[in-house]
Amino acid sequence: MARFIIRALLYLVLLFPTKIIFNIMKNILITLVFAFIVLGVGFAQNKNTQPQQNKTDQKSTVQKDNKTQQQEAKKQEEKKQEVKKEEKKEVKKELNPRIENCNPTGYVRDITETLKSSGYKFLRSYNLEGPSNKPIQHEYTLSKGTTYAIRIASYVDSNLKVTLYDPEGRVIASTYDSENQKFYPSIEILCHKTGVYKISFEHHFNKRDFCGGAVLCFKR
Amino acid sequence: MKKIFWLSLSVLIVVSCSQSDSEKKTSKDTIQKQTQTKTEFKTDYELLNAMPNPIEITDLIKNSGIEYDNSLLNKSENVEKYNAEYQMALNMGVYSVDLGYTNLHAKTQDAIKYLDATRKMAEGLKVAQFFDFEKIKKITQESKDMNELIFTTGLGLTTMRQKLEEEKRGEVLTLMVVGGWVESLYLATQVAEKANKPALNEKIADQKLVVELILKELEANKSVSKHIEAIYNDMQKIAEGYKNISVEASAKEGQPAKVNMSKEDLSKLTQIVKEVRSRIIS
Repeated sequence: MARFIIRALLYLVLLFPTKIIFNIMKNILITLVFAFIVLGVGFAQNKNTQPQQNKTDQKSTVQKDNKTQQQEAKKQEEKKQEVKKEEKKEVKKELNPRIENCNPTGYVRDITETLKSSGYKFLRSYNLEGPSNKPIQHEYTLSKGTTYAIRIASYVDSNLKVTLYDPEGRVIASTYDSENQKFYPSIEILCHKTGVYKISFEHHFNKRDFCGGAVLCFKR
Repeated sequence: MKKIFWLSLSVLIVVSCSQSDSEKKTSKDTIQKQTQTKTEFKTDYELLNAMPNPIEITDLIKNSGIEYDNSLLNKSENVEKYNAEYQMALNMGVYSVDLGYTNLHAKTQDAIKYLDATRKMAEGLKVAQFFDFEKIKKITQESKDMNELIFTTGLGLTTMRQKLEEEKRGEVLTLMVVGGWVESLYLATQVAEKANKPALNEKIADQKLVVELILKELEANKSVSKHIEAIYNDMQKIAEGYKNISVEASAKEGQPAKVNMSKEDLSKLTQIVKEVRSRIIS
């Protein structure tokens, strides 16, 4: 680089008269001095601005504190909302237990426990589980002269009802008493005609998922 | 250059040969699958679930006041004879009815024997895990409430049925149901031959409806295997035995139904059922 500058100067000396060279050198010096002045002012300004920046930093830390407080508050609100959501989910689970933890065999066991001392004998159990867009239906051959009972159990307020249809498709018994608007846990009938009967399980008022059990039993 | 040409040619030949082998294998597989689908057992689970529980007949036998007779039952030692799945399925049904019969009569020693026989059949069919044998054995040994025993056994058998349905083992389930029904009808006819009990006669006559349900289930599956065909033919023989038997519904509720079944009809049916049952337990 130095060689290049020396060569350039030599060319200038050779090519141009001394007056012109002097003028060029003078201009170069002026520009250099001006540049130093500008740089010096800038440096001085920089030094002056540093405490100001510190001040702004302090301000920003205060702002940051406020922000973190706001964020914490937001987080707390979010947490509260999450808790509320979970509570809602739990309520949903209660209303819609098919989603999780449905145990129809548990309901069946509970029913059998209640039936053991009733004189009835076990015939069939039905696990009631799944979506309720249509009733769950089963068939069974009932014999003339035998008394049959169907006992059901489901989650609280599910309004599950069972309807029994004879071989001709007529309703002969139901756990729902429409006159008194009452639900009963079982139906009991004395069969007058041997044939294949239909047992239908459905929710009375609303479409809900099934989670329950039923037991068909008999006695003479 | 020549070497490279021959090497690439040999590689091509090897690859094409191996491809043709795999194609052959896949074509064989598809043929096997086609034959399998042709002979697949079609199960009407709704119909199977509509079949009456044999305990209704055994309970009627007990309530008729007829004495307990264990010579009528399939010997528990016969379990060793049943090695094929269809034999185990049929006799699982037979032994579960015999177990119900012994339970209803509170015959603890026999009940344990038949419980063990049922367990062996269930183990052979890989469904024993759904039946709490130890709990039932404990209840039987402690001679607790018989109704509790019947409920626990019934619940175990129902769970087993449900699992078979879930596992799509319709053939096993059908044979189990058929075996149980034949055993209960065998016990009923044997007892009815000795003592004239109108309620029992009516129950036997009512089974005409059940044999029709069984035939409906087996009709679509008789070409599945020789065993199913044999069972179907046996059920047809029982249906033939019911040809002259019928039940007329009573005009008024509460009145007994008119059972059209002569002594000869009952004897004929009893003989047919005995023959069918002996084929099942042999």
